[in-house]
Amino acid sequence: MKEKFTKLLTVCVLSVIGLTGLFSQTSGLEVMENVYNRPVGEAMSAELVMTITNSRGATRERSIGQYSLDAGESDKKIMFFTAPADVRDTSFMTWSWDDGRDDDQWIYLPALRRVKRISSDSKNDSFMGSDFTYDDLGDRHPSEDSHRIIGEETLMGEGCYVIESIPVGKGDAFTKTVSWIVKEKWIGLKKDYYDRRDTVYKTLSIEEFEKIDGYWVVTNMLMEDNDRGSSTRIEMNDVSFNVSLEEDFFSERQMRLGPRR
Amino acid sequence: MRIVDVTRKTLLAAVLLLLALWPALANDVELTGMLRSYSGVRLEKSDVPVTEQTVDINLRGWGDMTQINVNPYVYVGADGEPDIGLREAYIDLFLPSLDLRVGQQAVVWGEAEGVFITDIVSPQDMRSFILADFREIRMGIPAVRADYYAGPFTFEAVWIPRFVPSRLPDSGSIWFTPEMSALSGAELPSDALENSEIFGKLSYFGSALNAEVMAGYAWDDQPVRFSGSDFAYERYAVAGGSFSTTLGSFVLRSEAAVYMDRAFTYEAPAPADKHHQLHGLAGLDWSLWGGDMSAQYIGEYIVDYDEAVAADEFGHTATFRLRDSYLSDTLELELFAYLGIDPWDALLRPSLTYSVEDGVEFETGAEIFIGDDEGKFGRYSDNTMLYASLRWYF
Repeated sequence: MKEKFTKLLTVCVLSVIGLTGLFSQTSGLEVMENVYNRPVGEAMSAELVMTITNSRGATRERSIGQYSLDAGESDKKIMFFTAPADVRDTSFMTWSWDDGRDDDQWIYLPALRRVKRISSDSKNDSFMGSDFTYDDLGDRHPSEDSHRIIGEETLMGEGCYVIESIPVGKGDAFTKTVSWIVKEKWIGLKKDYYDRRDTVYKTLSIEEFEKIDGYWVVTNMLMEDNDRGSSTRIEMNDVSFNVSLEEDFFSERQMRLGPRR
Repeated sequence: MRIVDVTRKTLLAAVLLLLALWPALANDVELTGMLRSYSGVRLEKSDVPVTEQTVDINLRGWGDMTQINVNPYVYVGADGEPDIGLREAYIDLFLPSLDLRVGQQAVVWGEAEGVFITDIVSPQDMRSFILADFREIRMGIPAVRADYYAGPFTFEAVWIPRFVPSRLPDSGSIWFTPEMSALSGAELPSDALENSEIFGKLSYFGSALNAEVMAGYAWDDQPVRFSGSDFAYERYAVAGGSFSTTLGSFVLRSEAAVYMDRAFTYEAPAPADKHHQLHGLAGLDWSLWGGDMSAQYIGEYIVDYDEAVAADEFGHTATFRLRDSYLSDTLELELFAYLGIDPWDALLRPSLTYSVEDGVEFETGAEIFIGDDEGKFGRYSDNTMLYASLRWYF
């Protein structure tokens, strides 16, 4: 009787340990949801410098003022181009919805003096001639891909999950991505984009990140296009979370007026 | 020296006033602009009718609640005579829910591209037919404009105390047609208060939809020979609206207006009636293989048509735009086409723009007019040309 009880207890303990292990094992989806839901402050402003380097090494620079707001059901972002002269006063606004519906996007072209609604279907298009697409610069919802952990590695001295993500739907430029996500900080340090030949055609590398006003922020990133031999670096300066932004800032009026408030 | 838009004295007075007010109004100032050299070669005549140098300056200053904007320009054509003008010169006052703009300004309304339906507040500079840049084709008008904001809604009112007509080509221009000679003699309405123009617009800006409804009481921007033998400017009322929304991967745009009791030119002096006119557009924008595409259909209809009216009862036009960029957006190829239907004619505008470096663009292309003299594009078939321009932005 005692032996039978001991066996039963052992089975129960092992089952509990096994179940505990199973439940404590983080899934790829959980990792990517942690990245998506990482606190980024309610409102943020920053000055971006985008440096585009072509395959011959020639560089072009764009300066952008960026403002964003967590407006509850949606994240709203507006970008004002301040240099060079031929794109000055252009602005671009995105409303990204938490329920996964398509983003709303508008562009203000000063030459036309008109705010134009644009289709979010252009997510694979180059952003202002850079190696980033509109999709790269948006917040891709975790439900748009199926995720699995394929390993753990150390990168830039940080322990990372390596996550493979495969698009659920059609219409993406890549067939899969592999991301290196820092444990507990939930920041992606690197992302490889794969094409149909299963080769890496584009790589995003985070070169600097820091804690500003209590939030982890990527301040220097580089996108390299292996097919074209070009690259684009985005540096974020003057990042501030202590900024007072109302929802009506993200409006047609502000797109026309520019960043002055 | 010929000065068309403003006299020297007016321009000088405006500059002096600006300089006097500048320290009080503007905490900081920005000077931007564009220099452009443009030349066109007509294929049919083997001549170079267009050689134009342009200086376009934009001076902006900001105060805490104000902005000032002055936009003078100088065109120097083949005859070497400068054409100096003031496209805009206005002061903005920004209040929490209200923007007020006073002065010479261009107003842009509606969703149509390359077509003017509800976008009739500013007259058009037609000296280069419809080939000028979109920004330059709209003329500044002396106006008071107020925008009141209430959540996603905006109410805009524009009062134009003095009517400004569209500007037509000079008699020596390749865009001048014999019919235009009679238009230039039309007398402008007096500066009486009752001759001012007024427009109002209510717009909605939201996730699913952008929409506008507008109304106005205006002068026709070009004179008509309606009653009697002389051309004269006539009034009409207008009501219309526009919207844009996304349909999957498409952006659907539409715009329509009814011009009420509009006067039309009659073929011969005769008892004349005014007619309502409908003007509408439906358009789609989409992306394909990384390029931007757009298609629009534009229809016009004169209600209770009279055979003696010089204009057609129906008008049908379509536009197409294909645009794609290469080499990290440094090279852009575009084709914009107007197609007139009944009579068939067309204006094809292929162009290639190369960004030599940041702020410096070289553009070359063609303006191809197809059709016979009956068509609004075909009548210029002798003016099919190749062009090249160099723009330098600062």
